Amino acid sequence: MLKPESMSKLFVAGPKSALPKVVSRLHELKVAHIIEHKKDKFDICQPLKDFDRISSLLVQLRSTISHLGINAEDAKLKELKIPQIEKDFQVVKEEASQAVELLKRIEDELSLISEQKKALETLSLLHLSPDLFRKSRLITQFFGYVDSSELKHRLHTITSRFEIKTEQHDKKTLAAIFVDSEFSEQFAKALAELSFSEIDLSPVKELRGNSKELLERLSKRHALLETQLGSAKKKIASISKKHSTFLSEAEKFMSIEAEKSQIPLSFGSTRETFFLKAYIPKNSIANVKEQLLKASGGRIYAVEESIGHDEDIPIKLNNSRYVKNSEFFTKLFALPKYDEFDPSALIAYTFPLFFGFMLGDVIYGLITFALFFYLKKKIPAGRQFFNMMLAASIGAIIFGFLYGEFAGLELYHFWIERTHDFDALMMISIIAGIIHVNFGLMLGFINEYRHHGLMKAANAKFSWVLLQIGGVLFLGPLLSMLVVSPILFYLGIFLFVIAVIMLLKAEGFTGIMEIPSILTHIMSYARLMAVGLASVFIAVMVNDLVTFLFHKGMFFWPLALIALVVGHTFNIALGILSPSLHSIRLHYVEFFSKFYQGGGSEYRPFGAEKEKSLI
Amino acid sequence: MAVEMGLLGIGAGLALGLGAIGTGLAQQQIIAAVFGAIVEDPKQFGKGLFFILLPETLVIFGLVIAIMLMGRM
Repeated sequence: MLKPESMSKLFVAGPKSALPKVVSRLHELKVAHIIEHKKDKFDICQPLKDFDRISSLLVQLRSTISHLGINAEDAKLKELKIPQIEKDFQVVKEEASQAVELLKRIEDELSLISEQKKALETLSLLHLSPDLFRKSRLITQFFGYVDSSELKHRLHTITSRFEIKTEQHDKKTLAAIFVDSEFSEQFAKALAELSFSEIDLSPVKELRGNSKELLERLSKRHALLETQLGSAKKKIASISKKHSTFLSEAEKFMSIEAEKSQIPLSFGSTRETFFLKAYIPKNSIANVKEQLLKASGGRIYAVEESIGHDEDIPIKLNNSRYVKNSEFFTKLFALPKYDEFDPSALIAYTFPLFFGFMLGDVIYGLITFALFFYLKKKIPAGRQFFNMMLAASIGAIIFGFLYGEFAGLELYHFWIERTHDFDALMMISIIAGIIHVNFGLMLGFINEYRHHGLMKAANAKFSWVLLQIGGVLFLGPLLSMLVVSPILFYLGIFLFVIAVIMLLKAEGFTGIMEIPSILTHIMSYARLMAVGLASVFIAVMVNDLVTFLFHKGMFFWPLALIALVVGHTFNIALGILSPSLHSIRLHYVEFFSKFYQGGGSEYRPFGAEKEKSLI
Repeated sequence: MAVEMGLLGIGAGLALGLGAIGTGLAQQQIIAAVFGAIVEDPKQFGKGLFFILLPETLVIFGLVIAIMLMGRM
């Protein structure tokens, strides 16, 4: 439970003729994490012989699917034949590409027409026709907005050989200027200085005739195209409906075939043989070996290899059904290394405990439970996270009963009254901290012991425990928080000094610098109290406000209702965010720093579909 | 006696208030950076939220001290 699954390494070699059979059996087994072969003395293996055909078909399938707007994600996997797919797809492609092309043509023309209409509308403000803007050798035309009253005056200083027509529009001056080409450069410069913004008339360059008439004609054409567009879209929708099952099933099948046909790129090869290495969970390696031998008719050689010391072994977490949910938090931090503890099992129980201790309210717990139950149904990819939050909500309900709290009202007094017993809450929080941190140190001790032996483990991890005991025994009396006998006081100093020396040996000077961190890490658990207090006091305040408004008279009742709903909704939102984040933070920062590094790479078996997840 | 009580009260207030200011100062920069990251990649939302929370330890220590001081009043 606390360990990732044990892995073995399998080496397989065989003639290239057996490659397709081996690949498809490996794909069916879905357990082999293939180790990529880097080119050395041995070359990289070629993809299977159908690779080009398969990938080109897949690309076409996907492009058709996207053109037709089909959602192919939830397709069922069906056993199909590639030649049959090719034949059927040819027909569908023909039909689809015709319809798509037609649609595209209509859309292009529509967008051209709307550009033309816009340009013509502006032209018709000045009662000009597009003919006037035909390219000419003798006359240069300018058409656009300019915001200056001194336009004409300015242009006259250059030459009088020009015509201008202006009109006020949109609080700006619309101007059409026709000038002898000789002065075109000077005009362009002058207009630029007057911040002239040109209107693009290129869409109407080809049009001849009066602007008004052209506009009418275009409007008619536009309406016609709109109806054509509608029917083209309908056509595509019907095509897509007719073929969506075939296309999505074919896509699914072909993407698997593509995956299979290119996996040999991760294998090594000689002229006539291939070889591969893969990590396989220890308990299925015998089966894999047998299956591969059977599939290839005994023509391959498969042997278990020993795993080297510094190999990056993929991590397959191995947890019970409930604990699986907290793998979400582990992965969010980092996957464990192969020889590390998998902390999921620890988070799975302490996360809801801390959350519940902080939120601790029956009504709030029920509401968050309902909310996360709904979200779990709505967003299946977040199942693991929402399951954790459901467990946390149950924690909140249990602690709610212990505190006797119902939406901030303390209905009975059973264990702790949170609005008054600050000291008790703080004590519990700190004790939780001491237990949690020291548990982390213990796990760290085991880790160190396994890797570097007893001495290193004691120096690096046990020293912190001694430091805590010594610190309490001699700092307690000094700060007059504790009364102990002189013997214990001196023992405290002795333990403290020993611990410091051990730390110095294990971690050097940085170890000494880190000494206060043990105190801050334990004190940090005071947030269990603090976040809870914030939540409960906001609830109490909301309730006080509501009672106050309620007693003011009938007219204030609606206001009281609003205060009740808004206040508690706000507090529940905070009550989800704060406790969950603070709870997970206690794990990541205070707990993990004692034993956990992470950094393992994910186990990705060939052929298995990637699980959907929020991260 | 009254003066002593008053000083304890002021001390408790300062402990909480200054802690909160410290948290705020730290969070303003973290939040700005986190929002930048979220704009680039919305998947960073969860991690970002977690980083925003880190400096809240300061105000929590302030609250602890305040409660300890109030216990002496």
